[in-house]
Amino acid sequence: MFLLGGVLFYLHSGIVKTAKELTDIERLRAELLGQESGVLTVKKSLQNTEVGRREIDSYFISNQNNVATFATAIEANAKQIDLSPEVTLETGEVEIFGETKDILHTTISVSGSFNKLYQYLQALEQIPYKVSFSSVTLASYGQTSFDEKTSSVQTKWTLDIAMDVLSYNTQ
Amino acid sequence: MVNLLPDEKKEILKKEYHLRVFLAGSYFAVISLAILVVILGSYFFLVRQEIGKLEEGAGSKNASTTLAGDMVLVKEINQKLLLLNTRFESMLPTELARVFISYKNDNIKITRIEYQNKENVGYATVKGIARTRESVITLLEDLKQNQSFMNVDLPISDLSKSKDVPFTISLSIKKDEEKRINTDN
Repeated sequence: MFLLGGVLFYLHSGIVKTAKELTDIERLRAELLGQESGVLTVKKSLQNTEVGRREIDSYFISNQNNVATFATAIEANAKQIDLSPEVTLETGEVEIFGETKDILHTTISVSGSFNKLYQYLQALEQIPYKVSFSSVTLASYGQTSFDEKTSSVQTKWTLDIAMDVLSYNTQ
Repeated sequence: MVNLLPDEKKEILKKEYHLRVFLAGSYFAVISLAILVVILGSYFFLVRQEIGKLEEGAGSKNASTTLAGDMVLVKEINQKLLLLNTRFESMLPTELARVFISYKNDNIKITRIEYQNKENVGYATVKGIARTRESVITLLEDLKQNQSFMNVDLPISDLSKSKDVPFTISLSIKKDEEKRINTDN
């Protein structure tokens, strides 16, 4: 009987201790369930926006291949209107929204008729990457007198562009 | 009632009766304790098992790590969208060229258009040749009246010639907010 009493006492104290543990675990579980539902909501949102996110990512240059695609796009735009630009690319840094960010500094030099250069500049403004023009110079050469016999079509123009690709993220 | 048993026998019977009651009581108590031990024991082990399962579930801390990872992704997307939606120029170079061309008349030849963006403020210079001084003044006035520009400036020296007047007009491009303030006024 004493033995049984001892066992009973042991079981009682064990149960009291376990009840405490159980309460802690239940609380932890409730917290985790809350987090889990948060995870599920975020996961669902991420799943629903996957196509859109992929599209956003396509506007960002994130590796060497993307740099090549960007350079090809610049040249292809020029080729479409019979222009052959000289393009240089180099990386740099700029401060945006209070943070230092990597950028792809691009310079383009090209010559041709005013209309073609204007068309090319317009095409560059519309490329899907986020671009900021730091300087653009459109200049004709050889005109010093108003009555020079040069029509606007024949006049040669040069276009020098310095622009920063802000949607550049190689990290 | 007639007392037929001797006192000794009576005493023995009494003792035996008490012993039986004690034994029956003890037997009952032991059985009860044994049942209690079995019930509490099984409850205890079931609870321990349950705790084991719960601890296993709680052990999967991946949920919080996944959430943290996903939140980083969400923050990244927001930053990308903010960047894509922000306009860093108040006027695109072609818009600027279009404005200059729209003010150009037969007496003006534009030879150079320069655009510069310094810390999100646009500056422009237009160079050209004008047939007469008056045509340069007209172009200058037109540009001054344009709500998109400010600090429109032409050096006086540019007006020294009367024919084939080379000119350089410089100006700043107003930011979108500044344009709105002017329109409201």
